[in-house]
Amino acid sequence: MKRHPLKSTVTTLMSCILSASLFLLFGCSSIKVVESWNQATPPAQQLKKLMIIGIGHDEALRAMAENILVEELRKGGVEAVASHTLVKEIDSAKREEVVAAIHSVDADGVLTIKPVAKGSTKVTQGGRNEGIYGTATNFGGSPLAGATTYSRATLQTNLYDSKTARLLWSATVSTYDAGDPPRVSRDLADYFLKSFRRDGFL
Amino acid sequence: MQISLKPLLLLLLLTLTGCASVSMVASWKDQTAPPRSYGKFLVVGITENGLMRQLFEEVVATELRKKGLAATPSYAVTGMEEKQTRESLERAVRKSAVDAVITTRVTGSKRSTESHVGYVLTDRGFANPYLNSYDVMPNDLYGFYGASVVSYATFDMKPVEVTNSTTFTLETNLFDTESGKLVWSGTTTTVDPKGVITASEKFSRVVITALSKEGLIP
Repeated sequence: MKRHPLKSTVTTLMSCILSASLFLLFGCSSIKVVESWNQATPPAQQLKKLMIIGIGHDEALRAMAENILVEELRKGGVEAVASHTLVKEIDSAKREEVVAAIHSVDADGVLTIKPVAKGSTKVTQGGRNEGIYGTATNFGGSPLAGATTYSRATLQTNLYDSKTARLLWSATVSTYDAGDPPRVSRDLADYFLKSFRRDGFL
Repeated sequence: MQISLKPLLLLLLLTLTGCASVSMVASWKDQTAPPRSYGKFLVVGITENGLMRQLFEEVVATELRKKGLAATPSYAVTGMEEKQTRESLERAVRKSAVDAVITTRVTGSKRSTESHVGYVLTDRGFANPYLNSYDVMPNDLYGFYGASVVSYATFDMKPVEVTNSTTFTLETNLFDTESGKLVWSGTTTTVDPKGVITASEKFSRVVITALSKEGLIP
């Protein structure tokens, strides 16, 4: 089939339209808050040190996400400890083991992040994806056609008071960029800092 | 000219409540029980999923507190490592000194699928072979949409929309701690819950309204 230089221009245009649509939908952050809840009255003393616990069976992913969160929280002025440095294989760890680790570093808050759903979403631009210049049978299709698959995940994030084991704050967060855990982790850290400060926990 | 406010109110209601809905489908009150209004509740979510339990109990307790009632989530008394049993609940009741226990459990979930059949455009183009030439084809994007050049189109009849909805049924019981008797029971349904937080908030409001109507809370 004969190709035309305009094809690459159209492909670029198509990608721009898809990206712009997603930007309009989700803004510049890779995460979207589905719902959140917090205790109406924050604890008498604000939290000083957080233990970050990524719950999942992928230890490498857990370590990376926890390290990024710790780093970003520290940049935001909050002391934090990554749980993977103290408790290995969190999925099979006993509760007592986790509690002991929390107390060993004097963390007064525990932040857990757990994936509750994952999948993929295909965003489709209407029309057909054949070239502009073609045979009579495919001539009628719109050149502005295409599809991009986004890796989707839903995360349940909880903040606990380590002294009372009470839930202080909770949010369900979805992301369309689960294939980029560092970016999601940085955006999560930003969201946590803003939310915890707003709700009086930090 | 009279303007009907009904569509506007409906739109406002939909905006406020979102897509998920919670409704009370059945309720029962022990008519033989002496009339009493309760003010201190122990909130119990009966589930093996610890995270769901914590969230549900906390959200319901928060909604009860908003009405000026005292409410304690049961996990805060029993702890999370303890399996939910009658004995652990009894201990929690004694420890928390409440006058009523409100328990909730999921009794069913139903998923429904709906398909709509319609026509989908599968192809369109030229029928005249004379036009199958680059010389006569439009040279810009907009030319493709010219009605005069499209002389055929094909359609397929196929399912074009599939709507899934999930309905959860919850049973809620209110017990008087003094007598240990069931004083009220309600069945609610939740359609397409957005998440446990939103669903629990909406559920709480429906149950609180029902308890208020029955005079069981001030």
